Parts: sequence; C-alpha cells; structure tokens
Amino acid sequence: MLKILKYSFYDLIRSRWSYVYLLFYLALGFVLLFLNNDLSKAVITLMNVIIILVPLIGTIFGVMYYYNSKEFTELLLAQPIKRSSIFLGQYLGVALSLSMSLIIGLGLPFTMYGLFQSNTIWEFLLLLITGTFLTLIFTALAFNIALYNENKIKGFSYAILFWLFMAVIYDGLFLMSLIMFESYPLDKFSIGVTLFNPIDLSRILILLKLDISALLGYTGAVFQKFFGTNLGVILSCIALSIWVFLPTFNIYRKSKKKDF
Amino acid sequence: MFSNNDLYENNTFENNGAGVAVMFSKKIKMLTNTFKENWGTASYGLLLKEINDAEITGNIFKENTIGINIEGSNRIRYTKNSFIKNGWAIKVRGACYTNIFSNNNFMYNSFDVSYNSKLNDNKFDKNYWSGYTGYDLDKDGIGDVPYRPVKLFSYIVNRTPETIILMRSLFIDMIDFSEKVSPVFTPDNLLDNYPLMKSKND
Repeated sequence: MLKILKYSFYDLIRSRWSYVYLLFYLALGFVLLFLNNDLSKAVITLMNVIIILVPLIGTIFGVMYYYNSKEFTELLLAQPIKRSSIFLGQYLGVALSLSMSLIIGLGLPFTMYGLFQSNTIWEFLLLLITGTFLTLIFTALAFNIALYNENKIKGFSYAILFWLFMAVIYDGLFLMSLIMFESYPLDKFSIGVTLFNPIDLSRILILLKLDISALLGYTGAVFQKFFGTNLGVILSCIALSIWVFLPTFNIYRKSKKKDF
Repeated sequence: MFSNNDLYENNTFENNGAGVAVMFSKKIKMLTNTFKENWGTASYGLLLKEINDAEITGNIFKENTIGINIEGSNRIRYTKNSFIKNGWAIKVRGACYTNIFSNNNFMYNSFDVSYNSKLNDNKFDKNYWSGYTGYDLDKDGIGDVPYRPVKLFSYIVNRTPETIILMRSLFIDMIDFSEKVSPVFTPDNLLDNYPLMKSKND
C-alpha cells in the first residue's frame, strides 16, 4: 500500500493542478496579509474560503483522479497486490497531496508574516486541521461516488451535486426545519443536525475558537454548554474523525467486491 | 431609574456581567462614554427602556454582545457614536418611535441593527457602515445607493434564536443578498439614504 501511496503522491505532486492549487493558496495568503497585516482577521477570511473551496476541490480532484488513473488501476489489479491497498493507497495519495498543498500554501505566507510570535497560532492551526479533515472527508466521499459509478459523467455530476448539497442546500433545509418547528425546543436538535454535515461542523469548530462564540451561547443553556466549554471542540473533533473513517472504510469494503 | 435630566460624561464601563441599564427617565444626556468588552452571553453595553427625548453623543461601543438594547424609547438622538465589533450594534425591541441615528460609525459588527417587526419610524442618516458595498460616483463622500442595515438573517435569528448556529454559512450569505436586492421580511423603509463612504475617525 505504501508503494502505491508513494507512486500516486509523486505522480500528483508532479502534476500541473497541484501546483495551481498550491499557487492559489500562496497567492491568497500573501494578498490577504498584504492587504491587512492583522493575522486574526486574515484567519477569519480564510475560514470562509476554506470551508467552501476545500470540499469542492477535494471532491472534483478525487473523482477526476479516480477516472483518469482507471487504466493504471486495472493494470495494477492484474498484479498480485491486495485490492484494498491499491484503492486506499490511491485515496491517501490524493488526499495527502491536496492537504500538503493547503498546508504549505497557507503556512508559508503566515510564517513569513510572523505567525509564531502572534497569539493566533492556535486558531491558525485549527484552520489547517479542519482544512485537512475536510480534504480527507471529501476525497474519500468522491472516491466512493466514483467507485459506485462506472459512467464518468454521471460520477462527476453526482460529485458536484453532493458538494452543492453539503455546502448550500443542507443549510437551507436545516434553516427551514428550524423555522417550521420554532415552537419546540430546538437546541439539541440543531447541534445534532450540525454533526451530520462536515462543512457545518468545521464552520462551528472554527467559530468556537473566535470571539463570536459568546454570541452563539446567547440562546440557551444547551448552546451555552456546547459553545462555552471544551465539550463542543471535543465533540466536533470526534464527529469529524467518524466522518473520515466511515467513507474510507466503505472504499475498503466496496473495492473488495467490485467487478472490473 | 425614574431620574430626569441626568448627564453621563466620560465614563468607561468595562467587563460587566450585564451592562448599564437606564430606565423610565426623560431628557438624559450621555456624552463621550466608553462601553467595552461587556462580552458574555447575557451582556449588553447599554440598555434603554422607556427613555424619552434623550441625547446619546460621541460614545464608543466596542466588543459588546449587544451595543445598545432599546425598548420603548422615543425621540432619542444618537449621533457621532462608534459601534465597533459588537455582536449586535443596536437591538430594537419594539415601541421605539422617531429616533434619529446620524453620523455614527458601524464597524465590523456581526449584526448592525436588529428589528423584531416590520414597522419602522426611526431615521438612519449619514452613518458609516463597514458592510456597505455601494459606490460614490460624484465623489461627495456619500454613497449613491442606500444601505439596508437590517439583514434577513437578523430577522430570522430574532424569530428563531437557534438558527444562530448557521451564522456565516454560505446559504445565509445568499439569502441575505437576495433580501438586500428585494426586501420582503425586513422593514422596507429602513434605509440609510446617505451612507458615508469613509468612517468619521477623528
């Protein structure tokens, strides 16, 4: 598995797209810090970008890589290598190279602007961690979608639809349900619903570390407990890990049975 | 409470669990006070209830959960105040008529103004709003497009407080934008017709 991981990783690192992705983050980081030197404000702005963009790139890259390397995968399958190691290796190769672009692309400008001397380092680290989590989750989900769909176009459209659902439509449905059931106690429900969407989850996780969390605690005792203590951070980290684990496990399970 | 013709000047109210509450009084003057870091789940900078004909000038409200909480207060002039980085800059709870907000700075607040009804009789004029995205073609320092300080999301949060968990999500930005283009739920005459392009930071 490690060999395949290494192969996909190097393959992707040499490809044009990961350079573009890396350069994009470098440019974003430098421009943001150039426009205002305030690291903490830059972190907030980056949060908005990361939460939408990272899942999108993760999904599209994952699907694209799977379909593009399909012939190579078939070649590998003819060799005496375990199936799970082929697919998991490829998945980790994509996810790790994307996360590396993210970490280097954002880490470099921030370190140059004096991250280590400032007190926003924990918030920035949290940003990178959630970014990495999101990459892992959405690449895994993209691989799942690709494994279930032989047809390229179908796979692509499902992947994009899935991203759209998670990033926008889910929140819309969530909001509607909250307004419809407004006469019921909703705080536990709303925290529960948040845990089912990794994008919402990482948004909350980052908000928790910013000052605005007091604003969120305003509404009731359950929110107060969730947002005011470390419980929120721990719970959302656990939920994110489950989100990584389940799709990865499904790749493993599905790739064992799939016909080629 | 129940104390007319008072003057509050040059005070600093900081790190309070609740905040400054002024109630049932007439002709109060509040000049150049600072309300800051009253930052907790139940904190506010200033709470006004049944205050009439008052004048609130040159105060700074910085990093409060709620800058000013207004209820049943009429004919108050808010001028030259700065609202910086508050959760809610101004929260209007109802029964507030003919108040005038002019020459204030509203900077980086999560919600600038929050209303709980569609009725509006208050005037917003010549304030600076950091969320303003309009342009100034004739270069007179006043934006050419009116600014709407009440966002749809603040209306929704008022109705269903739990929805605040959706803060800063992409969907919320989208519905805020569509409400800005054609207001349905927020008071449609609540506008700043002369928003300033630059803050009054002197």
